[in-house]
Amino acid sequence: MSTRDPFDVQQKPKARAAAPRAAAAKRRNTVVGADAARIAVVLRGFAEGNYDGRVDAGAIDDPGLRAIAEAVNGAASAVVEDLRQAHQRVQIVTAGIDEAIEAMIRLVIQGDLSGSLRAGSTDSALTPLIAGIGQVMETLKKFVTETREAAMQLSTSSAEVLAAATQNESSTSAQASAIHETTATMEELKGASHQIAENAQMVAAIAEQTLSGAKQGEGAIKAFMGSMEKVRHNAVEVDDAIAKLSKRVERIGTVVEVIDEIADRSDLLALNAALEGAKAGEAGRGFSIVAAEMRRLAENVLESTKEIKNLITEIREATHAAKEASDGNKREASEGEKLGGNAMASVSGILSGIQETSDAARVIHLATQQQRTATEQVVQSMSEIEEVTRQAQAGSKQATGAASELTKLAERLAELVKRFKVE
Amino acid sequence: MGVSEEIRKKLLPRFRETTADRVEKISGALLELERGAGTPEALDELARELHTLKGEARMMGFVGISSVVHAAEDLLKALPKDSPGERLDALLRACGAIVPMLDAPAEGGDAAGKLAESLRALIAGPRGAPEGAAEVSTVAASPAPGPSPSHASSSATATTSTTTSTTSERAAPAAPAPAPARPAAPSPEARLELRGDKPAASIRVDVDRLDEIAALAGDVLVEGERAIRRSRDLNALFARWGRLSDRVIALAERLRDARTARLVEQIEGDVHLLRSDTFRFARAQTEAASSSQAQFGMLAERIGEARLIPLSGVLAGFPLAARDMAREQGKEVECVVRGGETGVDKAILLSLNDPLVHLVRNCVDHGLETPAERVQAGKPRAGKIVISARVDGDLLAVTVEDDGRGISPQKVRASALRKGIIGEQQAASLSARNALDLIFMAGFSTREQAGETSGRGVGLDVVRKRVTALGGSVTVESEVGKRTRFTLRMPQSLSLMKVLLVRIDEDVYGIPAVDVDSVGRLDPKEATEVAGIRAVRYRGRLMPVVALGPLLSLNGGPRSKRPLVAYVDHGSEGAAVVVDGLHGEREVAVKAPGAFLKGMRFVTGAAALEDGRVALLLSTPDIVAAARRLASPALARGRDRRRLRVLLVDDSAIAREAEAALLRSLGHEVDEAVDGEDGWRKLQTGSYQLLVTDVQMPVLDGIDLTRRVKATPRFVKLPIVIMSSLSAPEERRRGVDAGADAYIVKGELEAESLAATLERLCGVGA
Amino acid sequence: MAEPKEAQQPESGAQASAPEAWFFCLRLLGGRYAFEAPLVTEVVRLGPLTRLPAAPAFLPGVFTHRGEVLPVLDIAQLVGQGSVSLRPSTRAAIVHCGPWKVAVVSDSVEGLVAIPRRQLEPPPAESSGVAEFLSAVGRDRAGAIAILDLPRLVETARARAVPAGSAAA
Repeated sequence: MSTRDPFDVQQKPKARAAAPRAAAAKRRNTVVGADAARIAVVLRGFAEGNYDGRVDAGAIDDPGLRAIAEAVNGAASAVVEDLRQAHQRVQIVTAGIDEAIEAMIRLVIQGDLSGSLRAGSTDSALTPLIAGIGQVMETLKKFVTETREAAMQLSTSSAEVLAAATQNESSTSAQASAIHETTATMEELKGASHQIAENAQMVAAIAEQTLSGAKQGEGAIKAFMGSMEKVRHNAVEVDDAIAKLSKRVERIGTVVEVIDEIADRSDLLALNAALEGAKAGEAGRGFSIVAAEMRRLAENVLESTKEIKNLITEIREATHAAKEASDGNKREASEGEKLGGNAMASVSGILSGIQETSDAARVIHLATQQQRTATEQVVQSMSEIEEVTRQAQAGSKQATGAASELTKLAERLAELVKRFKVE
Repeated sequence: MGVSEEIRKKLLPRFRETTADRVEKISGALLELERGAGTPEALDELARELHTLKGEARMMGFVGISSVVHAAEDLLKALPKDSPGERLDALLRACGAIVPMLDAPAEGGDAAGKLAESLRALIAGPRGAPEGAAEVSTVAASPAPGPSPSHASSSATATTSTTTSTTSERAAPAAPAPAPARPAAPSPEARLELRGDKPAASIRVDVDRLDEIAALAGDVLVEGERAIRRSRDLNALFARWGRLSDRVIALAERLRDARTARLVEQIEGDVHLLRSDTFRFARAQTEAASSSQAQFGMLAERIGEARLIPLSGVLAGFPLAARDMAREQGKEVECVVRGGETGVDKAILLSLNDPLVHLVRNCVDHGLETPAERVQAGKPRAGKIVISARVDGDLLAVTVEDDGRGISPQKVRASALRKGIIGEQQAASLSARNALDLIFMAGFSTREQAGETSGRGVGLDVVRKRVTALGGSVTVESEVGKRTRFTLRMPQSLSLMKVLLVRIDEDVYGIPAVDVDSVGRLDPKEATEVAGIRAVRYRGRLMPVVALGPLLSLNGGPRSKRPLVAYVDHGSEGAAVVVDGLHGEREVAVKAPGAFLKGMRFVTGAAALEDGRVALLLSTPDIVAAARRLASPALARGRDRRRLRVLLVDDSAIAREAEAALLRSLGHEVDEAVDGEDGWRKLQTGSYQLLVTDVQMPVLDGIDLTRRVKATPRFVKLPIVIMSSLSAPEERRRGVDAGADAYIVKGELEAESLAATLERLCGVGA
Repeated sequence: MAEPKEAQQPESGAQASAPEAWFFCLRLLGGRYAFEAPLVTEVVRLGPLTRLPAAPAFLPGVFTHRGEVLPVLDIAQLVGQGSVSLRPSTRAAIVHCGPWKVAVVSDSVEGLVAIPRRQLEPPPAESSGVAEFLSAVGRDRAGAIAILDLPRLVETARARAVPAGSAAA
């Protein structure tokens, strides 16, 4: 940025050429006075930049001085020549420099840093300058590039900041509304717990009623089971009676069998007696008649026993049926007992359930009351939170504004930087 | 009496034996004396023997014998040296009388007394009372009745009335020859008799009555068996009662309280007492039952023994009769009887007479050569006939042997062929032994004309029939040119016999134990098939295997793979008889099967069993003959038959094998199936020309199989033969209705009938 | 209605002159059959039977009675018209025909009936089945009775059971 540097480079060689000549003049002055003075005067002019003055070399007798004077004259002429030539070169260089600077300025003004600097003169003295300018250009280019990148970054960051700010703002507002809602809900909850507490109280009351009802049911089932047991007991007694009866019938059967056997034998005996009678001829006639009579008797007995046997069979069937029925009774009674037992178990289950319910209702009632208090506290806290949130919301709005300003700035910067052509 | 009854009983057999020996010794010594060869030592010996005998007899309670011997002793002491003849005679007679007295009542009765008296009389004077000696010897042509065969007594009236009346119904007795021989008499031909006195030491009992008693004793024996069984039942009942009483006591204990304590104690006491009483009673009852059973057994045995009559009653007449018979034909004969003392059942004795007469006649008639022929053959002029009897286990064996020309199997064969008894092929296939057996066939006689003595309608076939009816057998052995021997075997006694009880289905039958070699299980692996006969090798012999049930046309028949089998022996033949069950060997009281069943095949008698049932006793000869017939292959005719492929369906392995063997023996090819379903399956795969099926089978029975086969068009022409043990007409009808072409009852299954059936159905045969 | 009269008349007459004959009456083949009562020695309950080997169906077996072995004769089987079903309670009439003693079984035993010989009529001229063995037909109060010729029947049974010649004479 500094424009001084190229000039600096131009001054240094001039200083370097003047220094040795001054040193030589001084030393001659010391050897020959007057002549030397005259040479000194010329030399002083030289020193003052006046190279037109000359020492008359013929004038000076001393040969040394004269050679000096001649050398001074020659030097002055050489210097004049050199000066002219240097002048000429300075003119060219200056033109070159001007041209270069011109080009550079132009470039800078146009913002185009992409191109390279073309040197109008080929003067080697200008080369460092051009190189320096190139260097400056490069540095500039690099600077622009970096700036551009920074601007872009800034732009992005500011956008992000904006977004975050916006986000923040919206979330804050959402929070605010949520808190609002929560507060409302808490209000509702407060109402509901009140309701629950009331209901629980009601449940407890109902449970109390049910409990007494169930207790009555338990008593009824116990009574039912008692009667069932009685039924069963009766059935067992009936069974015993039946068993006794059938045993007796079996015994009758045995007796009848014996009678049957006797009758059968009697029948045979009578038959054989009749045969004997028949063999005895007329004498056995009466005998045969008696035998026949006996046989008829035996047959009657056999018939009777047959009837008895039928009766026994009937009794057997009847007792069997009775046994079946009593078995049925027994079965049903025990079934009833089982059902009663089941009912009893259910009822006691219900009872304990009801008891538990009532207890639970009471607990609920208590709990809901506690809850109400807690809810109220919560509502209080919530409204405080809401206030804070509101404040936060305002803050975040401001932040958003700043962020958007910043973004705009960043955008403008980026726009600016964009004007430099770097590539 | 010297000894207790028990010891006496024990010693009695020994006493009898030694006494017989002693008497023989004494008689021998007396004979020596008679010949004048007596030495003083011999005389001393004789006196000692007599003395010992007297002592023993007294000890054993034979008072009669003792008194007779005592008198003999006295007589011997008074024996004059010079002419002892008459007295010696008397002593010898006395000796002869002693042995029979062993079986007479101990006190010896009047006879003993009189004998002793007559001996004593001789001591006084040289001459006693010379009463008719001959009459006694002519008496006993027939056996004496009663337990005491005291021939010396003239119980002839009763005896002859029973026996002769029975014999006269049958063939005439051998000869009206006198039968002088007495059983166990020291010298058979001795014409000794007791002079005039009648030792009525026996009671005359009608033999029929004795038989009745024996039968009753047999029944009592069975009743005793039943009593033992009842006491077993009683013990079981008491055991039950004991268990119950334990429970009653336990119950009473549980129910006991202050109020009832006394009562409970009382009840307990009563129960204990009652229980111990019942057990004591039960024990006593059991003991009583078994001891009475033992006594019944003894009773039956004693009565059985008492009924035995010495064979000599029949045999004694033979020597003379044979001589007379021979004389008629110009032959000479010496007939010897051995073992005449062997006792047999009256019924046996009576039935034995005719067969023996016939056999002896046969010997004389056919067996013996004329003296000239004999001399030419290098034999003694007189032929010899030996009749010998002996007891072989339970069996009585009587042989009649002659040393005549023997029987030629060839001649028998030829004769049988000529008479049409057998066919030519059959004749060719007969073994020598079987050929000899032909002489027992009805209508066989090797003589062209009926001889004077034999061949009068009573042939050897009748002999066999008679003997078989007694549960016996008759066999013949002969060596041509040397001898012929007939052996009759029959139970010694008909009243008690050891039998093997076997079960067929539900019924029990008896096989004489002597004929049963052993019993066991038949391992099918041991059974082989020889020439189409199913047989088992048993003790180096092949026996046909037959199932007794089908053999007897009874149902049943073992279903077991290793059935129970009894190896039955009869003479040279035997059979492995398969039965459903074995009930062990038992001595049974044999009852006659009754007149109605007499002569029925297979049945020889019956025995009551303790459960009230009857065990029929089977005839071993019939079983063996039937087994042989069932097994006999008709191979001779089988050769020119067409070979059929037969499917045989029977679930009983035994029956199947038997039937298969039979079918194979007829030359057919047999495949077997084990039930109807199996048969039906096999029928599908094989091409059979005949289906033979059993009826009662599991899965699918024969009737249903028949129906199914006949309802299938493919098989409609396949002939079906049903072989069943069911013989009822309705069963047959059922089979025929189902479509069977023939119905054969297994029991009737014989090679010939089966062959005939197949011929009819399949046109097989020549 | 006329029957009792008819039956009574001969009875009163019989007492005077013509002898009445006792017959043993049993039920068989669905009808009433009888035979001469003197042939019957005893009527017993049939004991457990043992089957006879190789026997015809009309001889279902044997049982013992009073120590005697008795064959059972089923007349129904003999004449080929069904069979008597044998139960433990079946009555067996022990009959004595000549030398033979058999137990005749029937469906049931009716008992003795008296019929005057004069009233007996000849049997129908049939000769198949049981008719072959009828000797007469009689009547009593209960109706007609076929009189069997039992000896011939038993004889026939014996002949069929033991073919002639196979029995020892």
